[in-house]
Amino acid sequence: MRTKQLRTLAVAALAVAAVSLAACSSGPAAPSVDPSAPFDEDALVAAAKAENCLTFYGDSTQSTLQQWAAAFTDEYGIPVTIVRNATGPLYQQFAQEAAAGQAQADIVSVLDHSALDQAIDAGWIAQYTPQEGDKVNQDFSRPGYYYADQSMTEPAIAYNTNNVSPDQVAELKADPMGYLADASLKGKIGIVAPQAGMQLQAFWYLYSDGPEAGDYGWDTLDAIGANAGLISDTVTVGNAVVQGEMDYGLPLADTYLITLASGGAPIGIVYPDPTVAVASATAIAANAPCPNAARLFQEWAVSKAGVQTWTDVSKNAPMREDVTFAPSYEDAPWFVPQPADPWLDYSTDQEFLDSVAADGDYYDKWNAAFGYSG
Amino acid sequence: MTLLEKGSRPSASPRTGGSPDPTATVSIATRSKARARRRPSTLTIVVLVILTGLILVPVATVFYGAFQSGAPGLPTSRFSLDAVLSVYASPKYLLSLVGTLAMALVVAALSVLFGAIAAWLLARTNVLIRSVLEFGLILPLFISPFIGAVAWYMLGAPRSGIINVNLQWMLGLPEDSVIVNISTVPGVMFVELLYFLPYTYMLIASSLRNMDPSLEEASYLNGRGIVATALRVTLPVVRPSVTASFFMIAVFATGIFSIPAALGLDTGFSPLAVQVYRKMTVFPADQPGAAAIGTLLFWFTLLGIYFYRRSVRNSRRFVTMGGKATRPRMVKLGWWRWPITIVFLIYGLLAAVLPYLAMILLALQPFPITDFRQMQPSLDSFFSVFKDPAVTGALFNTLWIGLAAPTIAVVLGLAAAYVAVREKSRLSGVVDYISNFPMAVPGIVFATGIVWLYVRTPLYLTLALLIITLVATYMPQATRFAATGLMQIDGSLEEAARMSGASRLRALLTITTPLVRPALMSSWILLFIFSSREVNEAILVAGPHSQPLSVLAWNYMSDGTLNLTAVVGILMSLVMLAGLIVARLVFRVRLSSAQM
Repeated sequence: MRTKQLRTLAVAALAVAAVSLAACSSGPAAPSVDPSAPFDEDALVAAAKAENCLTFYGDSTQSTLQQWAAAFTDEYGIPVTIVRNATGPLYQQFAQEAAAGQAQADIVSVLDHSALDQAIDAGWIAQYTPQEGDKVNQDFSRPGYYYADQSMTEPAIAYNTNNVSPDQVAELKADPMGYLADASLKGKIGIVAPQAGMQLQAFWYLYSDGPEAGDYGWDTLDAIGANAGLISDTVTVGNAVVQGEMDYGLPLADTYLITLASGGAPIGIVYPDPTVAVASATAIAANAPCPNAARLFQEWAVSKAGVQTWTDVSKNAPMREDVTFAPSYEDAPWFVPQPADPWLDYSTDQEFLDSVAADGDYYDKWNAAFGYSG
Repeated sequence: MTLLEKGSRPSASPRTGGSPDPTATVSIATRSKARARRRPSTLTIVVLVILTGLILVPVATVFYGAFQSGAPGLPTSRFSLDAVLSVYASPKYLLSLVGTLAMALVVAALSVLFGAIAAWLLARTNVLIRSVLEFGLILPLFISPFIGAVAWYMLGAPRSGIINVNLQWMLGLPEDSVIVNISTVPGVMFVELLYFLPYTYMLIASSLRNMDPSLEEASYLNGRGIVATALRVTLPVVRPSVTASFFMIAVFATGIFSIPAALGLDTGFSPLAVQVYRKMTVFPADQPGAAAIGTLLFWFTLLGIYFYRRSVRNSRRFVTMGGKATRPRMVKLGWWRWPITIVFLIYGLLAAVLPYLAMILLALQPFPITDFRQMQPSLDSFFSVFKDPAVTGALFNTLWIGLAAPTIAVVLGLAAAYVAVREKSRLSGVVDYISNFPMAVPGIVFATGIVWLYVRTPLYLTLALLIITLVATYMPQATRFAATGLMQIDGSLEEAARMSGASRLRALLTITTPLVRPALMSSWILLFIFSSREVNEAILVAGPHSQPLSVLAWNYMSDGTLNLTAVVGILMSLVMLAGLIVARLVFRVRLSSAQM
């Protein structure tokens, strides 16, 4: 290679190195409040306002998150950037950024608490105890790390009110899972595959191998699988039921269905009883770019005002007992209250966890039962 | 012009007493040529370095990721063969590969067949309203394929599609009668065909327009009929562009996931690109598995690129830029003009009019309601979108991307094409291959490689990184357009400039670039459209402050608000249309096959 070319190559390499070095240098540190010091609300608010930024990673619906965040902005004047995605890709993005020291999120909020537990073990979640952290539901919280300040979600069955007759609804309500196994429903059921999240895995496991296996088991799932007309994610199946392409869809997050139905979509809701339950929880990211704004948001999110706002915008039951919940849809024909006794133990059920682990065989069995290409 | 004529002086042979020895001349010329082949120019090295960083390293990162137990960079990730073995040794994925390739080849064959027929009809016959028909053919380019697929699901879903539901009550058909079912393998292929046809049409039509019509004239004069001339004279001449289009569409169709995913296809078989998408979106995400599937597709699409390059290389033998302007003989269709025009209009109806109508209907309702009798039209969705603070930012990001990505891609594509077409070093072939690599990896997998590579840099999630990604993604098209332009220009023009003392760069800038300007402008316009609607890469690479309209539309769709997706889809089409109008008024460039 000629000297001139070598020189060109060297200059190009040096330019790349210089750009990389310049880019890797960090900016000035933001002012911060010591989280271990006694709580001083005024100091926290001042520090958060000085940062004037907050990035929220969440897996709830975009409009609900936006309205919730807008209320926080109205209160403190701090703009919030929402990054919304499904749990899997959202957590993957958060984990990659945290591992690379490239933290973008200040607050992370996902349904799958196993993801949050994993993040805590990896040191990606900051330890912080908000003043009113003990006021929100403790079943779905991990004190010191994440707090269930949003709504409890229970997977349900949706049906299209134009396609399904009142008699069929009555049969569905009498024995939801048994009814969906009826061969007359072939091609009319939209199925959400378990791969998308732990609460979905738990739902299917509950009826195939879990506590309800005795009454239902794989025979029932095989029969429901034979009726599947569509196997996809929550949103695709939900839209297919709304559009009338599918008469029934399951398991679909009731919080999502309530948003649809209360907005006028032609759907009804039926809960298999029992079902499983889960609640989105918020946590502060370690190395959050705006740590004081993150702490202030966490304080606000678990406060009565924060939970009340969530309850109002999501139209779902609150996670604090002192919050008012009077939905306008309680008399609507599609409305049914959540089952009181959902299966909660799945997160500690070792057989379940082993079965759905990467080397477990649950997905293979489920795919075979539903004829799903995985 | 030979190397000898360019300045090599023949040596005197001692055996012939100083007179030039022809054998020695050849020998010197050959050695000189061989040396010239061995020595890459500075331009070649610079282009190679840029393309390596832009394309080769992200692709290599995908391969690296396929051999990890988790996403590269995570503390628990380590070297593992699990993902590769689970994909390469799995009958499930191998069968899916066979199905994917079969689908892609059929779609490519049909696209080429119909594209070639359309090109011939519009270029060589007296078909009615030619300009309108050509515009109708390329109109689907303005619809993002995933939004088009959403629209087609609303139109052609078997039980609830607009066509089925409304024809049932209008024609008094039974409620369970299915007239159209788009959620099938043929349905997916039909929608893909609608959106790939403009590419094959434009490539083949440009080749038809560039060929010397006197060849066809000679055939007619010798007594051959219209069909015989088309098959035995025209087709062989445009065969390189037909073959190139076939492999290009086959490669595209192999990697597209948005259409089969949006049409809800799962009949026990899912295309590999859909499997890649699922691996990325399940919990926990299986990124090594997605990368492994991407590498599996890579080998087959690489084969497609090999044939694509071969056919493009062959086109040098046929495509010429002559000084003589001979008008081709226009075949008189007689009464066939009417049915042929109607067929074109039906295509326009299926590919553009119906999807746009479906999008408008979707945008005017809170939910996807398909029965005309139950629709609840309102403008609420438009107000919701325009109230969303993300829309203004997304609009500006789209404009930035639409300006920067095509411009950089066209400049870099010209440099890469110059190296591939004009330079004779061994590295020229390498440059040509690397510039085509982005076609070989599904967009979502290529974007994963970009994310893994850049997550530790300040470029991560910035608009700059998105532009870099799109430049890399569109290098095959940018290089191809520039190469086609360069092939039509005799290299002796540059040689004359160099012999007159101009540097290589000056010759390139002052002689070659103005001559290939029309090809570059057409390339720019097409890449502007691609960049404005790109979603496969953008959904992974864009950050909250760098998301373009296409990602906003995708986010609305993944949030379940199809009405808002439709509004943004319409907005995207308007942005693209505005771009075209500006290009036409300011730069006098039209998006038509005539300028390619």
